[in-house]
Amino acid sequence: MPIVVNLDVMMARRHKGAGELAEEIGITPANLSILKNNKARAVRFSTLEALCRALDCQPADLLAYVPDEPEEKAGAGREVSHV
Amino acid sequence: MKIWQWDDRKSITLTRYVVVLAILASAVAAVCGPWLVTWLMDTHHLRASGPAVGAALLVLGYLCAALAFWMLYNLYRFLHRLEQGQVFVPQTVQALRRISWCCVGAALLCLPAGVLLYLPFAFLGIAAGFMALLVRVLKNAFAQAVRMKDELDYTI
Repeated sequence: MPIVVNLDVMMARRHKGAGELAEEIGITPANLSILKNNKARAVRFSTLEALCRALDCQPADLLAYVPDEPEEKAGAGREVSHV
Repeated sequence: MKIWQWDDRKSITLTRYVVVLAILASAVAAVCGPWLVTWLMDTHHLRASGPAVGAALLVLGYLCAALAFWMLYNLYRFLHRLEQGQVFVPQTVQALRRISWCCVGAALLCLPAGVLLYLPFAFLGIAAGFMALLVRVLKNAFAQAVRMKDELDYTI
């Protein structure tokens, strides 16, 4: 996934734990973990807003664009389908 | 006084019981196969005659019974998952795929049997073919729904 979420960095700078942050922004710790581990497929603006408010930062501090390697792009998204 | 109300859960439970009844009925029909074939040959005019016809009808019946059991088992498991709240999951898509192929198999068995042996089998085959089509469309819809749910589950 080309969009990388740098939540760990900001959480460390603001000295906020995962449980505390999850409660503050109104999501479950499991969902916060999905976000931190770059497993999320999409982020709502409301969630991004809550994160920026809680961590006192800009969206650019949390999100980075890292283009895929050409070999990764070729292999990505191949789903096995059955008739 | 508590008023008894119909709801989705009761509907699923009822459907499950009906599927169980269908499985039992199929089992009884499978056990009584030879008698059913004899009755059919004695009471109806078949397009072909001879000892091989009885054997062919019996084989056809047991093949259709096997497909029916597999289809009903998958239907039962599907309903069980529905009861547990697991609706748009890959296993549902797989179950619908298997059910559709069972219907295709039944259609492929009944159509030639209808042409060669007993015409009403052909109508059964056509009905099975239409059912296969219906279930395929449902399966495609569920597959899309699974993809959409997956996308939504990972939207934070």
